[in-house]
Amino acid sequence: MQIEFENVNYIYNPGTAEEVTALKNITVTVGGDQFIAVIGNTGSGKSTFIQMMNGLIKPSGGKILYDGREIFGQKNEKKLLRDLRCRVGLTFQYPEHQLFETDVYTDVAFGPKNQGVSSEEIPERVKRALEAVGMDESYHQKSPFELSGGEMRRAAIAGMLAMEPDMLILDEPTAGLDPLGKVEILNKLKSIQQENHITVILVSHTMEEVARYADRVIAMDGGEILFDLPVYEAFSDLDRLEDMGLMAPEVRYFMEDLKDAGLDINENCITVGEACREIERILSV
Amino acid sequence: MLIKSDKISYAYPLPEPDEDDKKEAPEPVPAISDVDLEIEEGQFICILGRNGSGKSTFARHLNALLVPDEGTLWVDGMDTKDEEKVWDIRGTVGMVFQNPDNQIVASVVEEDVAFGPENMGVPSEQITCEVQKSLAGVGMSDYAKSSPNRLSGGQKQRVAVAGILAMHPKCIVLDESTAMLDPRGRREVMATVRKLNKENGITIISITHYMDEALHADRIFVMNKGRVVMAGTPREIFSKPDELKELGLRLPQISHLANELKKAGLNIPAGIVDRDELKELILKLHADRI
Amino acid sequence: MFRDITIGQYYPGNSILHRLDPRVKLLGVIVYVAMLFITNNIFALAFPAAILIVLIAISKIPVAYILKGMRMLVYLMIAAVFFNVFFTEGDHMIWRWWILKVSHEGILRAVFFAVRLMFVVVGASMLTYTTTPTTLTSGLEKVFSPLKKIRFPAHELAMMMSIALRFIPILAEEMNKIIKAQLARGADFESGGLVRKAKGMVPILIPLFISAFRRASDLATAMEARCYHGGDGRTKMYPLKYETRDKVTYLLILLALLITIAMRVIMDRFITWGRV
Repeated sequence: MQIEFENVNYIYNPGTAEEVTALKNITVTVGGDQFIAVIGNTGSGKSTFIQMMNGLIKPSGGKILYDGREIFGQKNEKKLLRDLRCRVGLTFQYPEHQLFETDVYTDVAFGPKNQGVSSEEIPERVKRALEAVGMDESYHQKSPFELSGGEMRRAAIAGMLAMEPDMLILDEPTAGLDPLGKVEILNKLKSIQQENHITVILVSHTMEEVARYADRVIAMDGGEILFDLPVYEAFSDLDRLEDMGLMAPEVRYFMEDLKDAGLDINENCITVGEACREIERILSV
Repeated sequence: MLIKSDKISYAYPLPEPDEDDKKEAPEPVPAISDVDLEIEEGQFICILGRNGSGKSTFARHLNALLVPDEGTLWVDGMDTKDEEKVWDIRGTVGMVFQNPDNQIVASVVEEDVAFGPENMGVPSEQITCEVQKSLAGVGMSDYAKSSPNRLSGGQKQRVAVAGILAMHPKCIVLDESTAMLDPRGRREVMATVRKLNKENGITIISITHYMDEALHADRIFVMNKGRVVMAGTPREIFSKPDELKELGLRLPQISHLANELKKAGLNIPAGIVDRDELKELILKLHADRI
Repeated sequence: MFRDITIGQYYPGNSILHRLDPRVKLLGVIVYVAMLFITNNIFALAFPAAILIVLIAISKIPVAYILKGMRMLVYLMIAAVFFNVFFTEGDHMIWRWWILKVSHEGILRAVFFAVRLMFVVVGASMLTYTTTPTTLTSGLEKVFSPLKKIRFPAHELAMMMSIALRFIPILAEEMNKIIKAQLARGADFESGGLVRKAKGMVPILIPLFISAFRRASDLATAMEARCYHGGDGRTKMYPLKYETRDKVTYLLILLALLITIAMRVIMDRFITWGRV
């Protein structure tokens, strides 16, 4: 699955006093076998950006090609949109707030059912999706509302996985979880991405997560893409991040400190492992 | 001693079983048990622990939203079980909760800040003055007449802090107040409460999942399954990475890096919490090498 | 779609209208509506129209903003016009077909009712445009507080109302988000018959209710934590106090009412043209 944005704009409440330009001239292609992180503060336009990938928001200007095809303005727009949503899964922040069925199984089956998956295949899909997030059959009959916060989150993500999309988009899937809960979800997403060779797009505020899991980073500010770089280049320019009100992982600053103190060191280390190896290297000669 | 928790335990009551339900009513599971700790006035305290470890339940005891089933909790010398003292206790310990939207009562910022003093029966002229001072204290004076709906998450949380300041608290409890904020909002809120702690001597008790917020605390308590399982300075707590891992927690990045370097055989002590300290150590190692 | 509802939403400002005591404005709205119903001549509507224009000018609220709020009302007005135009019997018939008929009287009535409806709505929303929900509710609380003696929960109702007003936009936004989230899961809210459409609402309504309850419970805890314990012993940052401007306005309201009654009496006696 590949989505191409060509000069896409979006304006909220056009023609009123509250007119807000949420996206300005976005040109970017996402897709392929990649783990992509989208970073930016609230109001940077990232939420509008990811909703467009799933056809929930129609651009005010420019065009979006989904696997080379336009959708908006086509005669069968509605059907194309529904097909698209089966191929591009999207979960919002706090996805557990959308759970509504009486048991976990039925809730996860909601997506595939809407998709028109045959009733023989649904149980298989639901089971697979729940297993992928580490929930076995003992959860199937439980009410979603008696689960813990982390379990609810995972059940909601399974609801998207059961649709078996080619692209997964998650808006801050780890918000509010404890450190272990965060790692569990991100590890699951990473392995799903690598095993199925699909695209995962992660919106995250935690740069340590981005540095550890992403292959590519798209940074947004004021409705524009400020940079779109492989992860190891994303944190090379600290001032640029600062200007956006974002930060790099703490180790990155630490390495900068060492460089400033006169050590001949590669300062662009973004994970603890890399930093550790680099420090060992300069100390071991 | 501002807060003294003497072996307190609490279990959330279970719903009444149906009358025709012949089964034995299940025993309520304690949310916190035998929590024993002391907090001095003016300290910056962090409470860490997994979801469901009892942190929030404990926090709700601090201003008598919950009262212990067993044991006693003393707040500024008052027993939280004493019903006559409830309003004094709530004026002494203020709480900022997780969801910024669900704790703002009024539709105008200054009216929300006034809510606490109004409830306490403070005379009108004095409320106006308190509200101005409190908003200035969190840097939100320009927004006094705004609608909360137009504020960012970080600004809403600062308004919530102002609402507590207007009640002249000795202590502010942050119950995962930064969990729903973006990095900018998180920095704003943490900078605000640090300032209140340093300049006004207000005790801060911060319950958080962000380990880096705990780095500069005076003391850290780690909770697990309703009990306090670790207590100490950041240095003491973060020098025990394996124990923390057991508890589902991890080290802040700097401590993590120091620990990895130590494991790799470098001469670095356990429990580094400060970037500059680690830098000096490495520079020294580098100089010694030559 | 809920974003567009400007009726009932406070419009920040500092005009004299914004600063008037809410009790004065409450009485003003009641009298204004009464005036509209006393008036029975289309030309006499010029007086309430003039009042409204003056009020809008004083309030400094953009006319475009007010008109935007009226959009929801257009259908109601069209319906009112339709029934009045086609179903009014009159002496001066212009056109008749089956049960539909158009007369001079019908057109007059249609215009009269549409204009009056518009004035009622704009007049009443002038109150909410210029009064914060909190001030409005404290006004209502004060007006109804004598009834506390007969156990009328004036404070509680006022508090409930102001919280409801605060959370309407939040819940509207939340609903929008839930709709999108379920659309992303392939939900279909548009096709099928009535029953299927109603069933399609379940995935929206259940999460919305759960969220509303969660918010209610959070808010109750937060209020308790801030020493809320009902209306007893509570003070106000801005207690309601009548200023000179409020007293003057009371007089003006009385004057306007008297003028309207006088106009009605005089017009009933001497003018038939334009009467409805």
